[in-house]
Parts: sequence; structure tokens; C-alpha cells
Amino acid sequence: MSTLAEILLNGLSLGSVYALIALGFVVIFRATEVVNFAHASLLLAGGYVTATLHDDLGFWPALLVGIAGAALVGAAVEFLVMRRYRGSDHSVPAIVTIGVDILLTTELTRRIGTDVLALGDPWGDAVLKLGPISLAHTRIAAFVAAALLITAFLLAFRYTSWGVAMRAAAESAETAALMGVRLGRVSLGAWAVAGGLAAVAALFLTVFPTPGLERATSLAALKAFPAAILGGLDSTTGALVGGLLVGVTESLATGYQSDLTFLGRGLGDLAPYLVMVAILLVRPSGLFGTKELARV
Amino acid sequence: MSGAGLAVQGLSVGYGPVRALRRVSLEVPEGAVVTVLGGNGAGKSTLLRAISRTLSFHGGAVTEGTVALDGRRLDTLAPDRVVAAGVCQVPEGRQVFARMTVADNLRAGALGGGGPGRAQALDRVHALFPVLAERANQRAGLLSGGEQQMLAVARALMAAPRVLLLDEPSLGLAPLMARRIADTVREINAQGTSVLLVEQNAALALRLATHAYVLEVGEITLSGPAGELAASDEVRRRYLGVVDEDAAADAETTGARTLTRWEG
Repeated sequence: MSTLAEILLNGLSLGSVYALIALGFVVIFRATEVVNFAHASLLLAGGYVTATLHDDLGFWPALLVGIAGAALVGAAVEFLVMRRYRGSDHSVPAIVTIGVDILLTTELTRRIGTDVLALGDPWGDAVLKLGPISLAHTRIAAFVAAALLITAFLLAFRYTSWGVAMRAAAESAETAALMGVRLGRVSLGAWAVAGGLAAVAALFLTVFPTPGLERATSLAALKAFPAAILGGLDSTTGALVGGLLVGVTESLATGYQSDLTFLGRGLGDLAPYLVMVAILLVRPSGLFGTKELARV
Repeated sequence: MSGAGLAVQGLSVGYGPVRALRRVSLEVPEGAVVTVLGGNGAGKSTLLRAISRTLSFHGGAVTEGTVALDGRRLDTLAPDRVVAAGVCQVPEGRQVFARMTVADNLRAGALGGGGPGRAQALDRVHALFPVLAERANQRAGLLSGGEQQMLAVARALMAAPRVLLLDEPSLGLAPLMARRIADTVREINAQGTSVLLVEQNAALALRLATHAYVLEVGEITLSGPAGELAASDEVRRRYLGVVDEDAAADAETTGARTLTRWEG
């Protein structure tokens, strides 16, 4: 039982980090209807900035600069590249993001090389023991941070003018423009927010028990993609549920790997995609994705 | 000519190689209700898109001519600046934000107009449409067609516009509901907002408007005081569905195009 509880708690923590990344996907998709394949490179950029600065600035300032840096990179990508494709068919900007991703990832992996960079987090490898259950401090911190950020985001999305503008633009860009919503600003804000969230996720993807920031970190970030899709690409709730589902699934598959050896090794990496395919077979627009609403 | 109000001068619009409007000129004087009549594809919606600067969403562009409010050019501005300048459009087919609540729809309408007047604007639209206050927390997609049209008008009013552009507000509504919308437009106008009303329902539009234009295949073919147009045989026959035997006979002998222009 204690193993199961441990696995579930770790899964929830991991899932909340995936939810942060998936939320970024969803925000950009809702604001601009673009599937952002460059998301993993934003995450890598945020992590890299934090990793290079924490020695000089200390961890917390470095993390803040990392978040701001990733937000800035996101905003720059929108302003310099994506803006030129606004109004064209949605598949074009989606393909453009693949190009952006290749450019950013190539530059970042060149800088990182074969190193494994520590982000200098204060939690180290400390473990909290609750009776038979032991949990790494980093996992608890990840869950708390993700929960706080997601709550803040959802409140802002629901109650601020920024959120209203974002939701209006998501439903109909043209009508939003008629109401005086500045679409350029909405899209810029979405990319910046997604970048910032990704930078926080980068921190928790690279802390204990993971060795640190390396080239492969962007691959870990890609697991948030099935999370966003299985939740429904245009649903914030979907991103959260999808993230948690992927995290728990991965954790379960890894935790019980020894019982599943007949399926071969590495099932943990595969499981999120299996869950995604299974869900999409039953609900093609994802768990919470909206089908087109018809006017009555 | 360059007095107060909205003035469109020699406006031509194309969607790629397709000409949608040819040298259209019209005026909405301050405080007036002006209507543009025309059938499907006459260019009515194109005209409104050109004024509200949203042609780019449909691959269109203004090729010549100007749009000005009180002598200030609007045709070089971004859509949000047009709203800020005081011109707001109610799009065809209502286009309420179906997944948002009624209250959030109204908030979205206030985004372009600037903050301080929001509470006042909300009081005004709730007085005009009490049902929207009752349904504030309902999703807009669940409202009836008539209520959605009210919401669409109310949302545009949240920007406190000086000129309201209405694209076929009676489309798809029961006659009773269309009359209620018409009454509301009259009331909005009485409160000091000019209205440019684009309609296929000529009977309704001519009752509301003081001045009317007829748009056919991208060109203004008739214009004049609404009363005179309503009385003209050509408009009666073509847009009001009145079959007047004498007029029909007249038209046959003299040619349908004798009444090509009314100057008011």
C-alpha cells in the first residue's frame, strides 16, 4: 500500500508540472489557434537562464530572471515571427513553430553541450518521511508551486480584463477585434505567459531525483503534449486533468515496471501516449475539448 | 460635407481581384439614423467591415476613398482605434461569445471603450435590456436568438460609441422580436447615438431611418430621405414587396431606371 501511495503522490507532483506546461500550450492555442511546437525550447531556455545565473545571483533571483527570460523569448518569438503569419491558415504558423523550435533547441543544446547543469535549488535531495511513505522535498515543492501558479492563472483568466480579452479572442478573433480587443497584445501576452510557466516547469523537471538540466530535458517536456491533447487543446481544465493523468500514469508504469517486464522496459515513457490514444479513440476532441457549438 | 458625423467618401473595396464596392459615398450626420438597403451580395457587410477596419479578416482591402468621423480619418487606424474613436459594430449573425457568460460578454464589449464609463454603460444597457441583468451569469450560447441579438447590441453599447453600426439586426428573428429590436434602436438613437443600419428588411429599416441609401452590386443606386424612398415605386416594388399595377405598367413603358437618383 505504501508503495502505491508513494507512486500516486509522486505521480500527482509530476503531473502538476506537466499541467503547467500543458497550460502554456492551451493558452497559446486559445489565443491564437496555433499549436506551439516550440514550447519545449521555451522551457529549455528558461531552465538554461536559471542554471547559468544561480551561482552569481543566488537561486531565487536566478529563477525570477529565468522566468522573465523565458517569457521574453516567448514574446520575442510572437513579435518577430508569429505575428507575420497572423490571418493565414492555422497550419502554416504551426509549422513555423517547428522551425522556431529547431533553431532555439539547436542553439541551446550547443551551449549546454554534454553538461548536466544544476539549477541550484534549495531542496537538494532531502526526503520527508510520513510513516511508511517517503517523499522528496522537491516533489512537494513542485506540487505546491504548480497549484499556486495554476490557481493564480485561472483566477486571472476568469476575472481580469486580460482574461476576458483572451477568452473573447479565443471564441472569435474578428468579433473580438470589433469590440476593440487588441489581438496583437492578446497573442503577445499568451506567448509570454506560456514562456513563464514553462520556465517554472523547467525547474521542477530538473531537480532531484533528475540529475539536472541537459539536452534531453526538452524531451521530458514533450510529455506535456499528450497531456494537452487528451484534455482537449482548447480547455484549461483539460490541461490540468490531462497533466495529472499523464503524470500518474507515467509514475504507475515506472513504479510497477518490475511487474510489467513482459511488456519490455521503458513503459513509463510510453504510457502517456497510450493513454492519449485510448482517450482520443473514445472522445476525439479530448476530455474537455469543445466541439463546435452550433447557433440555435 | 465635412461636418459632424460619419462620412464615407468615394470608397472602393476589393477582395483580391473581386470588386465589392465601387466609389461609395454616404453620410451619417450626428444624431441621425441612416439605413443602407440591398440584397444579398450587394456589399452591405463589406461597407461596414471597411468602416470598422476588419476587411483583413476576409482578405479584403480598401483600394480608394476615405472614412472619417468628424473630419478625422478612420481608414488608417487599427480596429481597436476605430472603436476607441467612437464607432462600434454589431456584427451580422449576432456573434455573441457563446461560451462566455452574459456578464463577461458585456465586459468584453467594454474593453475597447476605455475604463471609467463601464459602470454607467452597464446601467444603460441593463435599463435598455432588463433581461440581460436577469441572465447575467448564464452562458450567452443558451440565450434565445432575440436575446442574443439584444446582447450583441448591448455589448457594442458598452464601448459607449457615438456611431453604432448595425448589420442586419432583424435577420432570423420573429416579426415581434424584430419590432422590439427596432424600438430599442430608436431609443438608443434618442439617447444621442447615431446609427448606421444595414438591412434587407426594407420596411423595418425605412420606418426607423431618416435617410436611406440603396446599394446594388457594390454601388449606391438610390438615395434620399427615408420617407421619399419608401414612397418611391422602384423601392416599393423591389424591396417592400408591394405590387403596384400602375407602377409596374409605368415601369414597363418608361423603363425601370427612370428613378435612378433622389437627392434629399
